[in-house]
Amino acid sequence: MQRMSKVLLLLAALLVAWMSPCPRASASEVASTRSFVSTYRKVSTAVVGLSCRRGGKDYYFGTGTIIDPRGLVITSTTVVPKGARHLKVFLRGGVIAAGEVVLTESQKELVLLRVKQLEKRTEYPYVKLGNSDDVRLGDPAFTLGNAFQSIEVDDQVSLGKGLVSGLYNLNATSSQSKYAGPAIETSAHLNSGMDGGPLLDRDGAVLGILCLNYSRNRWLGTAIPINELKSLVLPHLGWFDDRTESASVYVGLELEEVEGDDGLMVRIARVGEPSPASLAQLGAGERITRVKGARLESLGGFRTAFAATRPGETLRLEVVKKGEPRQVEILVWGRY
Amino acid sequence: MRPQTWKALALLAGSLLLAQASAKTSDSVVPDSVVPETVDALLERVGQWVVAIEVERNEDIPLPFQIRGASANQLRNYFKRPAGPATGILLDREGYVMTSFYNVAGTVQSMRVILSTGNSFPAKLIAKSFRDDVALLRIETNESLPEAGPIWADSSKSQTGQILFALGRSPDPDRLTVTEGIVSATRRNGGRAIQTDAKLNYGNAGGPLVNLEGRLVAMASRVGHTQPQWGLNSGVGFGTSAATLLAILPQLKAGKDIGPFRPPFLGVRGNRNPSGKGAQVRQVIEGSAAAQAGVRVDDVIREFNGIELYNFDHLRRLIFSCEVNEKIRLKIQRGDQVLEVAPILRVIPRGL
Repeated sequence: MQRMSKVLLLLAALLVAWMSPCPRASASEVASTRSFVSTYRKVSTAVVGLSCRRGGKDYYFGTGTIIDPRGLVITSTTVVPKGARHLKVFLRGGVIAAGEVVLTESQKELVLLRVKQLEKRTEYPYVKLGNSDDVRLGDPAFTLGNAFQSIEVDDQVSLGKGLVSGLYNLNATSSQSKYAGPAIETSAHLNSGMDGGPLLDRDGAVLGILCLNYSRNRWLGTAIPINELKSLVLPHLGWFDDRTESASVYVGLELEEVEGDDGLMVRIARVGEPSPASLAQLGAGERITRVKGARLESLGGFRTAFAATRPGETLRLEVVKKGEPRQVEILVWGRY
Repeated sequence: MRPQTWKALALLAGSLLLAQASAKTSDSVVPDSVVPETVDALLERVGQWVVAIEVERNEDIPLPFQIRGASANQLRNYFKRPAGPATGILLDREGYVMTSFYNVAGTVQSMRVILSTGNSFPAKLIAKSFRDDVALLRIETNESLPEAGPIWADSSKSQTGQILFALGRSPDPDRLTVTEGIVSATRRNGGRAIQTDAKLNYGNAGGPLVNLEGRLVAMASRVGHTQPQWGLNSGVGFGTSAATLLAILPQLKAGKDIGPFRPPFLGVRGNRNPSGKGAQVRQVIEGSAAAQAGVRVDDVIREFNGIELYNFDHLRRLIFSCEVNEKIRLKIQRGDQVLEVAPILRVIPRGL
């Protein structure tokens, strides 16, 4: 029998936060206006207007959402298409910044871009990503955005209030949208210029990215569920604080220290889903023998090796599964 | 000694991760004084009797107007009936299903009703009401059906401003949809329907409008290309009220159709004077109800069914609140004389 020995407990905040159920909306809450004002104040500073040109003539505009303190903006390919130039980001207070595309994923209609730093060490207001798997029909929902260029023209973010009014699959594409797949429908208004913007829950977390596709049975606004995009977004998220030399990153491994035949060893107890670890096909029960090339003998060793790892970096591990060693590379995600 | 398991959660490495307040919130919300219920609990209960209807057609009813010009495709897209299921209301274990007549209009080949349980059955049209845009279907099966059906709201207690939810089962029969709104008017379509600002669209037609208690207030109707001027999701939507539905269901169950509204006709013309006492008659149509009852030119109609008339428009509105073949009472002033007559309202003659 193996005897398990003592180890320290780090943290499970993220996992718990993702798994904890949200409180449901009471029916009368639908009619109350109390919560809307505070939600708007909290999140509207992180909602930006976007515009760009393509091929000299075509002018595109829409909405984006800042999702980390370093100015990472999530939006849609209907706002920033491939080959876009002169990308402008309209921040609160009438500030216009340039933007730089980080990632374009046409199938999921996803674009990530960074606001080019206006000055060094600017921290941007940002909105957190929610959990769209936990969304239930009838939950309150908000749309925010650059409706008819309201941000660009008047520095005003338009707010729409409604419900999660449907959860279904969009089987065909329509309008300029290339997205087909699971969708969150909302009774909150979605007007021209709001595509690429956020669908938010009552706590102001992003449930989805507003999309131009719709069902002809409904003629209502839809959003691409944020969980559909997370595996693409999370590797780019996060920040590294130059002042404290510390990062906030996530790999999704829950480890345990057990005493084996040849001394202490570190074993995977659980793997978060989705996580960098699950994407790297790691599973519970596998033993981790090396981290960044160095032999691993204790959990403390893992922590030391993992410290100062930045989001987007690759972490090399050697794992042993049923006596078979293999090399694994994990792309580390950031978190806030 | 019990082996101890110590787990390290290497979910992070850095230092400063604060434990997020992931305060476990209970699933039930603090009871509210108005409605001790969550939206999803309400939907789960109500959703049991909201059904989907799949209709196979040979031919659809025509579009309400000719669509030409540059935006023709867009317009056609908007007004053409979309593919996919429509919504209906399962009334009882006998398999009666109520829906908007628009949903089953056209030359229909076959219909299937998909219950909330996912079971689907063939169904047949029993009767329809053009007046209220209602169709009654019946599921054809020997299987016993689930015990489900709406709890009806009392239409007399319906108030403007009351909160409503509009439910549907389209485009996906397995999943409900819900839009929210208020009662915008309680007595539309001659007092037979309510108006709501809840977003109503093709997927809502034939579905329920329920109040905060989950009671059936009305059935969404007149959604679709039969009433293009109201549009989809326009904030002006209509639902045939519970009282109307309850009143016409016995007739529909007996297989009797109800025709479109026939405006009743008295047969007088008058001045549209904005003020004054009574409605002055300027012309009496030959052979009309008014002529037969002896109404003459220059008579002033003072009362209609005991209601004092303000002017001619008032009279007109009161006539339209009646039915064809209804006997009414008029108090008429002719010079110094006051007469009482009781004409029977008829249909408008052709050519008028």
